[in-house]
Amino acid sequence: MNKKTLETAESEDSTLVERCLKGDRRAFEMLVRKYQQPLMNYLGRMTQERELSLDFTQEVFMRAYSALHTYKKKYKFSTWLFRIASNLLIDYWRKKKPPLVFIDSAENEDESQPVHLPDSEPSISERYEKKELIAAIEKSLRELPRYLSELFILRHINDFSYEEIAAIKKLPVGTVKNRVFQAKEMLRTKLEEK
Amino acid sequence: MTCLKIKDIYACLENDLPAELRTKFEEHLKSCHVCKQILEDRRVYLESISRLPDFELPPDFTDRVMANLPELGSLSGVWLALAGGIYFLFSLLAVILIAGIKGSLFPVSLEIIKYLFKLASDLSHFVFNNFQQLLGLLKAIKVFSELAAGVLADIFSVSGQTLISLILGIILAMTIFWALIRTTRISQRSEPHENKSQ
Repeated sequence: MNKKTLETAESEDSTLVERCLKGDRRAFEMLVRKYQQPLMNYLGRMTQERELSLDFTQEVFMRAYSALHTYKKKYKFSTWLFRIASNLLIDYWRKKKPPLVFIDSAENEDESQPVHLPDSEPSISERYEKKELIAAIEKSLRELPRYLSELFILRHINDFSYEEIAAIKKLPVGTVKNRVFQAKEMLRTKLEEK
Repeated sequence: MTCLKIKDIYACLENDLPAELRTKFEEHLKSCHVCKQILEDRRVYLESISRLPDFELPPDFTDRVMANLPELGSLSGVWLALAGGIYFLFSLLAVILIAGIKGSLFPVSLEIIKYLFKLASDLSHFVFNNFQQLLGLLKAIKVFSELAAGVLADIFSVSGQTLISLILGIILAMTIFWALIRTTRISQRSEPHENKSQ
């Protein structure tokens, strides 16, 4: 999507939100239809449970609808919606398991990594059949630390920009870039190891 | 130019590399086969990871979401603010009306209250629909206030009358306020059923 298309999409979202606030439920239905698949892709990959992610996707829309009057037009609706989804996951994991330990000291490990010689082995896409490759990526993604896989999914599956991810996760843009980079290289290494 | 870091190679593929550095890197690529191969490898890798399939949604998922939507918080908020403001003014004017029942303030107060209700009817669809009922209520209040003022004048001093009028005004405003919220909630709850039948 180019910049103009993105701006139009955001302006459409704001208009739909305004209509919702005036009581137009069809406008909210349009927002649901637009964002249900991206939300499901994000929540599905994060939870790895289909039924649970369906419930979570529905819960995100319900929370968004209840809090629609708190949405500020200066923010992107998509970013606002995904922040609700991200907070929902945080609540879920907090109840389910002990909180994650973030090893920020390891964050910059690869930042200054110089170019290494390319190996003579075939590339990832040459090594796998299409179906196998998808399965291998999904499996490797599940093996990544959650704080890395989440940013990776937002960037490369949901196509958010680094700035948008920073707004969703309330992290500095630099941190987001570092973590997405770490995730990419970690995933790639796992794929090569398999 | 020396070879780029892996991170910068990704930035180049995602159009996130500063223009100046990008130009230099493109020049560098012409002579460096190592960088060229890494760039191509990462390009293919990025393409692969961005082609993951969607998680399947049930065909009726949107309908399910729409049928389970809660009340829209903003509508209640707007109604509460509007109704609260109007009826606070109303209760104040009711005090003036009752306190000044025998004086020159009475006709002015009555006019102001009538005007306030007219304004409320313009501002909200709900008040407009119930204007006749509210006007009837206003007339009942007028009769009640005349009676109450007559009784109070015989029993209490002027300051006592004002205090009692204030209490009565607040009770009245709270009652109308409660009725308004209740009606708003009922009308919102009925909406999903209307949609279902469409």
